Amino acid sequence: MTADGPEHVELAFVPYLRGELPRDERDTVETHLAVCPPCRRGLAETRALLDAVRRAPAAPALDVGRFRAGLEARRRRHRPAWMRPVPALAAAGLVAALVLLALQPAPRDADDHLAAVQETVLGARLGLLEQYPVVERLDLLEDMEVIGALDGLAATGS
Amino acid sequence: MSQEISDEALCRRVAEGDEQAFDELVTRYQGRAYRIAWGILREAEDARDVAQDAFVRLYEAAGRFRGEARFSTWFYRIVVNLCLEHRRRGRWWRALVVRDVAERDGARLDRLPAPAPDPLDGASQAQLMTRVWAAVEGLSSRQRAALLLSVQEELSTSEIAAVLDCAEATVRVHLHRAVMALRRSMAETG
Repeated sequence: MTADGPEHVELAFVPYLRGELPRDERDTVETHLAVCPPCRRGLAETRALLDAVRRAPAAPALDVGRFRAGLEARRRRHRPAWMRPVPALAAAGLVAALVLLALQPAPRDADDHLAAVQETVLGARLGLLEQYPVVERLDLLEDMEVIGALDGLAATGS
Repeated sequence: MSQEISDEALCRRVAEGDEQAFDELVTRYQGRAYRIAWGILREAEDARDVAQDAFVRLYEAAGRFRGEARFSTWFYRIVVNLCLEHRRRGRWWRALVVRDVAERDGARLDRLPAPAPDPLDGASQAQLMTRVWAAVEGLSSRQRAALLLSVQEELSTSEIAAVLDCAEATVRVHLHRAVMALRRSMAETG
């Protein structure tokens, strides 16, 4: 290794300054530095630069509360679909369907089969019940049943 | 949770679905993840996003942590890879918009380092830091990552090689080129 040849030791500056070089390599670097003013100057500049980078306060302050809230939101988005909360509309539809089923009169023995068919049909229409405007107007259908019954009474009474 | 529990043990607990262990790892590493991401990306908002993504990845991938390397090395690798990916995705259009708006508003505070905490640091010191960071910004992503992991996070060359998934000799070349670029830049602006 010569002082003015192409074999300067700049590539070893950082590991040398960090004390990472094995003994033999470190000796080689120091032998070269002893006879190479450009490398000594380069080493001094490198040391000053690394010190400056080390001392420079790196990032703007982190708002930990905002960070944790953002992280939680990100984790929610990454959860598998089956772990996500059921959308409110679908839940409302399901509850309405269950309530309707509970309010159905108990099927007579003879009608057991028919009731099972009705439940199957209703189950297939749960998607419709998830639409809130439809669920919201189910009471109108009940009103129409009452009006129909009153009409029937009026007809028999007259 | 006791501080005596190692990062590696916490990561194993995370793999078993332990939320408290995950929370503890976030507490321990959120500052470092954000700092590394900011060092590479130099945008506070992007750094926050990437650091958050890194923790999501950590949660999902904890079961794949074999314990062959230190947890910190493994996690830094996630952070740095996300940063490099983030830059590769090419946000040239965003850089144009952000730069234009920020320069118009004179609001590029997010790109600047926080003020030096040492009250003895004078104006010349602050100017020097500004020049150093401007020079760091000119480095390639890998050079910057190698430099910051070495100098600020004090990782060894072999640890940086594990984080960047390259040979130790390559890390030395990255560090050498980074320092040479900084020296050139400082000489030009000096």
